[in-house]
Amino acid sequence: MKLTQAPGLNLSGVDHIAMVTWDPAATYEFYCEVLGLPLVHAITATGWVTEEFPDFVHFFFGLGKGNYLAFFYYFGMPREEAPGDVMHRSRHLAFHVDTEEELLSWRAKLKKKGVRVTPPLAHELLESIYFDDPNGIQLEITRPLRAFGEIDMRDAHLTLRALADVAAMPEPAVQAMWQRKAALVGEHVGLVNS
Amino acid sequence: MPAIMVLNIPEFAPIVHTAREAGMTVRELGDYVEVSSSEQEVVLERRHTDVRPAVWFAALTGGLIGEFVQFDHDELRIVNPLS
Repeated sequence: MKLTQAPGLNLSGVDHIAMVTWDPAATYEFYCEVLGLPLVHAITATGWVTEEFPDFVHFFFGLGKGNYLAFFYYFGMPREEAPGDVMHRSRHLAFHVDTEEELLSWRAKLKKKGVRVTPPLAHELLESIYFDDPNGIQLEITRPLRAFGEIDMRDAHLTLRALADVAAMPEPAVQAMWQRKAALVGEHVGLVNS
Repeated sequence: MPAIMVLNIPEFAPIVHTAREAGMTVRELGDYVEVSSSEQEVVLERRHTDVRPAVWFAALTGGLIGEFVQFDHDELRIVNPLS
């Protein structure tokens, strides 16, 4: 089990992730002026994609390393209801920096621009700051506390197997997942030692 | 007897240390450290581990033998299976 992809046909990072905005002016200002990202492309079209598809504008900001953040603006589309707190925190976009200095510099820059931003929060392997874009999309800037190792990868496979088993049960619960995980670890250790 | 499996990575080392201090038995099993107890109930206190909440609340990621009856900011209380 290796951290890199298997030999052969591979994916090469994220090309773009697409979001929807109902406030293109604020989005334009936030990403270009506050974050300082380049606006690199915008396409405008009638809704040719399907019969019901609205007319739209699709525009792209550069994130570096060939990654782009894209937005759709749809003409005449009613504004979607804001997500609840858990979904707001869950469906987020995290930008990468390498060092603590960069993370703290970004926080200072955001505060100076009037953006509400959290203090740095250390998770297990990442340290992050959080803030919202004008669309209410949660953004994160994160730095690694250490690199993922092969031990993390092996453990992740056992966790996902335990989760898959427990998520298929009528009332999935974290305790049942941890109990299933211990059983899988026992099997795995037995296999490793034999 | 109650036991927890702890992934053998630096973030979780204070959990293992605290479990050992709480009287649990520690043995390495592959990628994991099994910490078990002959007691009916084991209590780990976060203030002894000095780990940040994100690590503390992930302490059972490696697996649990038994049940937890309390797992909050202060304490993790593990018992034999209740049923």
